[in-house]
Amino acid sequence: MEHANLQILVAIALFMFFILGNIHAARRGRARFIRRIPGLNEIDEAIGRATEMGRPMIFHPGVGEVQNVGTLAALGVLGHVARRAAQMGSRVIVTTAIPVVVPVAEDIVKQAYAQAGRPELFNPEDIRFLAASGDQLALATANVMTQEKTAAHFFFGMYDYTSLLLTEPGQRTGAIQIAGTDQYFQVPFFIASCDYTVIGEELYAASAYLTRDPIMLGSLVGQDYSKIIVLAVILLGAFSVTFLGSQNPFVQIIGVYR
Amino acid sequence: MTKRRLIALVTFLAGLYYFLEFVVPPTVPWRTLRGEVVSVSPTAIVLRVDGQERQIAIEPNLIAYRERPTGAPERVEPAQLRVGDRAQVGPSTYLSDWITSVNNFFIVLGAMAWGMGLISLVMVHSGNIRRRRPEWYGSVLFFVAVAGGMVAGLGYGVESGWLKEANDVVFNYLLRPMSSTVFSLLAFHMATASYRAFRVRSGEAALMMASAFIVMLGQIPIGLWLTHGLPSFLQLPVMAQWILYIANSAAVRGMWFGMMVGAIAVGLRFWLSLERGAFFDREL
Repeated sequence: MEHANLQILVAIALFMFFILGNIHAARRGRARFIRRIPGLNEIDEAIGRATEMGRPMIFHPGVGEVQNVGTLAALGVLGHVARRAAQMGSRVIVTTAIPVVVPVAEDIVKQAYAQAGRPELFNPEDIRFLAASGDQLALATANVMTQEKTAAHFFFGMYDYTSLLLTEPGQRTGAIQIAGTDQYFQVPFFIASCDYTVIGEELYAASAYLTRDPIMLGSLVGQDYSKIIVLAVILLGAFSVTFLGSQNPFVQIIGVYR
Repeated sequence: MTKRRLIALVTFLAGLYYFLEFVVPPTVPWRTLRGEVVSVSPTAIVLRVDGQERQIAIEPNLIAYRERPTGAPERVEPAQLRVGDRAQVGPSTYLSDWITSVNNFFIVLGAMAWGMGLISLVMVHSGNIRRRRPEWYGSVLFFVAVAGGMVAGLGYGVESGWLKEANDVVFNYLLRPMSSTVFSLLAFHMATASYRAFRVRSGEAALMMASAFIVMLGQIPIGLWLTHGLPSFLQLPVMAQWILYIANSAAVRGMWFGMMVGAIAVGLRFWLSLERGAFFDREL
């Protein structure tokens, strides 16, 4: 296992300071503004459309294990989708190839329906572990799309080559499709086959964006400050190496060439 | 609320262990010696530190790291150090010693979840059969397949006999070709998706189309043949390489930095149970 060196320790401390500091500021009531993310704005639209059509929707939390950051972020989005669906009296079918995701997703969806005051609408059979491998799951999910005549598909989380196997059959059913992944190799496939795509870190920001919780928004602002620090280090590093050579004091401190 | 508090506590403690394991050095800093290995015996190591030779007794909690010209030091058994190595030797802080056991614990927890997956499948398919839903006979086939798969699984590693035959039929002659068939569908899906993506409907789509055209032609001999008479920077293979390794890399690295910082933020929110919505609907 790798261990943190001094530089990494300082970077972690700085990131934690900015993120927790902004969460603290948000707790004290300071308003936070974050930019619009069209893909996430369209989620409510898609749920509304499925409800109007009287058809269910599919939520697929990716192929990553439950401890994967992308999967965790996807489960955050599932909470929002399930809550909205419950408020509108609609059905969400969750399909997965990861068995550990089943009880977590079940708990999230059940809680969402209970919070919306519609616990009777929750059906445990809608949380489906369909297959143990990605390609079998893609086929099985495509089958659910045609059998249940789903009207909206949400693909959020970590994806591998199965992304296109999931979204292309969905595209042919005419359902509105929204996807979000942190795997940049899969982003072009989602862009080509989905109506809206949430890219990279936007996926991590999704639950904060959707819940509009000030504390969560505070963490997003902290994240942006951290990125400014990373950007400043990159620029200083590039300039210092260009003008002062690869062994200049800044590079020595950062420890790039160690 | 008690359940949530318990989840938050367990999450915090588990996260704290991994966090400390990463940030706390593997050896006690003030008792760690760093220098050149002078001699190694089964009971002691002699290091030259600042010109002085220091003897360290090999005890069960002693950890040694061999320094490498590049990259992080490599952990080795103290007796594996060689004369002339640059090494760091010191007593363990114990956190790293437990990492394998903690990881194994999570693997066991994950394995238990496979049972839940099977229960989920049984619930869905038995419901299909009970309510005679469309294609319910497919669900009957599911139960037959589960029973058959379990029996065939017993043939794993068996040298000969009907169990081995069953294992071969199910896993090698059925599952593997079927997986390859599904995988090959990707080619057709890619063709249709590319067709849609490359329809020039906007400036961005036109840019994407032009880049794809250059990269595709730049990868094959005809690209060079078509442009070999032009200055080198206008030749398709050169332009394709520039798009792939300069323009594309810049965009991808930008995404990576954002994602890494985002992952830290998500990790912090989960660790401290600040995540809302799906997991904790209100502040604890």
